[in-house]
Amino acid sequence: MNTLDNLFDASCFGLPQKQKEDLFLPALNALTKHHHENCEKYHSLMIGYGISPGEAESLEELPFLAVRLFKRFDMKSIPDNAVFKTLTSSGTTGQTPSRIFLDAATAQIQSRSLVKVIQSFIGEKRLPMLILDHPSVVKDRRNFSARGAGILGLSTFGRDYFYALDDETMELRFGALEAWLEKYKGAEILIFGFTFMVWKYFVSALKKSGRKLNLGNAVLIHSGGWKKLQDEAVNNTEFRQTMNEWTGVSRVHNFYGMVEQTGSIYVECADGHLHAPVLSDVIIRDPKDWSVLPYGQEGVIQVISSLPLSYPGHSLLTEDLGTLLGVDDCPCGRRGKYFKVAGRVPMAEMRGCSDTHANSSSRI
Amino acid sequence: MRPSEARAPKVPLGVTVVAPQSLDLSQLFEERVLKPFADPAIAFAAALSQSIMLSSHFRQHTDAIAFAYWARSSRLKQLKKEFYNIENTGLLVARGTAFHIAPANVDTIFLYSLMISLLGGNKNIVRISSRNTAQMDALVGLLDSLLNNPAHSAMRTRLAIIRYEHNPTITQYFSNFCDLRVVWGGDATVNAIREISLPPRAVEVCFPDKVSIAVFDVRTYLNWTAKADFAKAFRNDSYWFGQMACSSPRAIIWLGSVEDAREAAAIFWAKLDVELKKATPELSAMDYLNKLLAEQSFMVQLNGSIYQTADNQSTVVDIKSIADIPFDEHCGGGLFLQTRISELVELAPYLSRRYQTVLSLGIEKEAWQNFISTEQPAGIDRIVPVGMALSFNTVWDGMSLFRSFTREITIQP
Repeated sequence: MNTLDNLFDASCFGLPQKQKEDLFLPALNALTKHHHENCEKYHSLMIGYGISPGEAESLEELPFLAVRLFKRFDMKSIPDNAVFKTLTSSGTTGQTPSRIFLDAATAQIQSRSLVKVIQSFIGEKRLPMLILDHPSVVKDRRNFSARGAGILGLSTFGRDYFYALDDETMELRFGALEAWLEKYKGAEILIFGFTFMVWKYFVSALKKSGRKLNLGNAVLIHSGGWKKLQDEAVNNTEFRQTMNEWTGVSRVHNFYGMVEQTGSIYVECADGHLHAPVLSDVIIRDPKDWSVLPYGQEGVIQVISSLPLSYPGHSLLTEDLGTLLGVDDCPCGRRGKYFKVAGRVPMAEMRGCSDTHANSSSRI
Repeated sequence: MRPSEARAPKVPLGVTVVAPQSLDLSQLFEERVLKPFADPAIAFAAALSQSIMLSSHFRQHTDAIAFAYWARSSRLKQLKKEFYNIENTGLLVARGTAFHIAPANVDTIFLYSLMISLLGGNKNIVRISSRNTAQMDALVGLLDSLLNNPAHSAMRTRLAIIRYEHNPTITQYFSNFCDLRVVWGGDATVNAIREISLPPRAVEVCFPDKVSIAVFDVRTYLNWTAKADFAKAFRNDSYWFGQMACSSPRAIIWLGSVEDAREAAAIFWAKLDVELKKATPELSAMDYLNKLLAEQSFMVQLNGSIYQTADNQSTVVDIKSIADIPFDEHCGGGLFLQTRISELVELAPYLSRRYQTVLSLGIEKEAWQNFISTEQPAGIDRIVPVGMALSFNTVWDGMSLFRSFTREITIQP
């Protein structure tokens, strides 16, 4: 697809929004058309909304699907025998996970996109990689947890992997860690972990034992959401400050992404803003009428990605709340939209004289 | 006096009597029943109604106010009359001890069946959900203070509101000596409670999941002069419990020609939108997301198509046939399926036992009577005009509750 090549050729965060959209919108219109022609269920949706596929004149006009549709139905635009890999969302116990069907081409452009975005933050060199998890999280290669899949995805950017946590106790293997760090004294290293794991088993563990690390040359990438930390009343600022105080790490990049749009990630800059790269974009919508909200107003996040070829997931309404902070003018110099994520949309209150409603909502 | 058949052993741990807090449940077990519509029961019902009306706690809670209105003094007199009309065929007496299991999500619905049981003379134990809501706490506080009031001393040992976490052993304990078990709470709850045995001579009344629809004759609607009032009444029917009440309409079926139906629908949804703007239902972002998922699921499964409304307060999906109505996927919050029929008889094959209320416009009583006696549909419990969907009646889900909650003695010496 030529439109997609144009996006891959473009600078990851260098284009002003207007110019980006000139490249991005044709790719998305092409995807809408493609899925309309190749996915019967998507076809029904376009008919149901009375939409002429592929004729959106702005990003805002692109039709969007409820992200939970991928939990309820197998949605794909490829024949069964072309399925190369099926991704499933972690989901809480008892909930149906999302099932995302990838063909080889889609899987490949997902990794290309991930590389493009991550490298723009950490450079092209593979760095010694400290993984803030325990090794058995990636042992069973046929059955990955979301955490395992995330670690494997990011390990492309590292070498000489060191898993910092003990398999049995989840305790920080402090002695072994110090020995490993000794090898890379003064060198740049990559640290990756899930936000909650980083906080609980690394930063808090150091704090508790009163031991400080000196990782001034490290870059930390973390993801997985703030919900558990919010429960402990820890916000991003405190996370960064405590991290810096106990480990010396000052380059911290949180990212936002979901299994339904793997490869499209939104990485936080030094100013703590999440940035939309050239290959994807976000729109914040008002739940009351799905109209587009201006800067500064919190609403439901719509994510748009140019990557999903094998399944109709290129424009999704998430169940996350966020706020658009600005366009083209982040102090970090990156162009395009930047935003913040507030967390999950709260569960609806149970009503009615029956109790069946309890089962109808998932994802939280 | 008719003592309960089994002598009750010690009340199990984990049970809290929340109203009246001072009550030792053994006092209730040993208490006598009252005769139906005895003065203390009527006085208590009237006092409860009045206290809800006067309390500032319930101003925002239309459902509690509606109950209070239903149980107002003049209405209690009507109920008494109604009761004695039934009694003409035999003498009705209390069954004994009624054990009510209230639903988790609607704070006030159980009050209706409780009052009917109480007026019928029964002693009542009500298990309410352990989930606290402001309204339920206010209601419990109010019941507690009424029951501790010397003016209602006769009721103090005849009504207990209890709380316990889900526990089949405790439910079995109370079931063991009840004469009547009343279960609210949907199919899953009803199934779970039915696993728990009752004494041989006890009876059970269940209120499982039901669904409701509206059938509007298009010509009648187009000629209707009070369309704004109609929309307002429909809004209340649909949105009071976020459309999750069994009686709230989930599908609108237009009866008439294609052209007329199109015209009627356009006016109807626009008028509803005006009413929704005047009193906006309290829907959350997740309600809207649930509706988006439902509307898209209906498109995928049924080839439904969106019917454009002003905003997300009302979400309308056109479907081809009433056969398609997917009630299980329905999430409430102002989600409506819409379709059209040419003749009433087209409904018949689809009216399963799940159908409870039909909101009707422009279809005469005789037409419904003919339809029902000719077609004998498995479902439909009540046919009422718009605005009456949530009005509780002593005949509910096809049962006369006065009859079900009492024992009829034939006397032909």
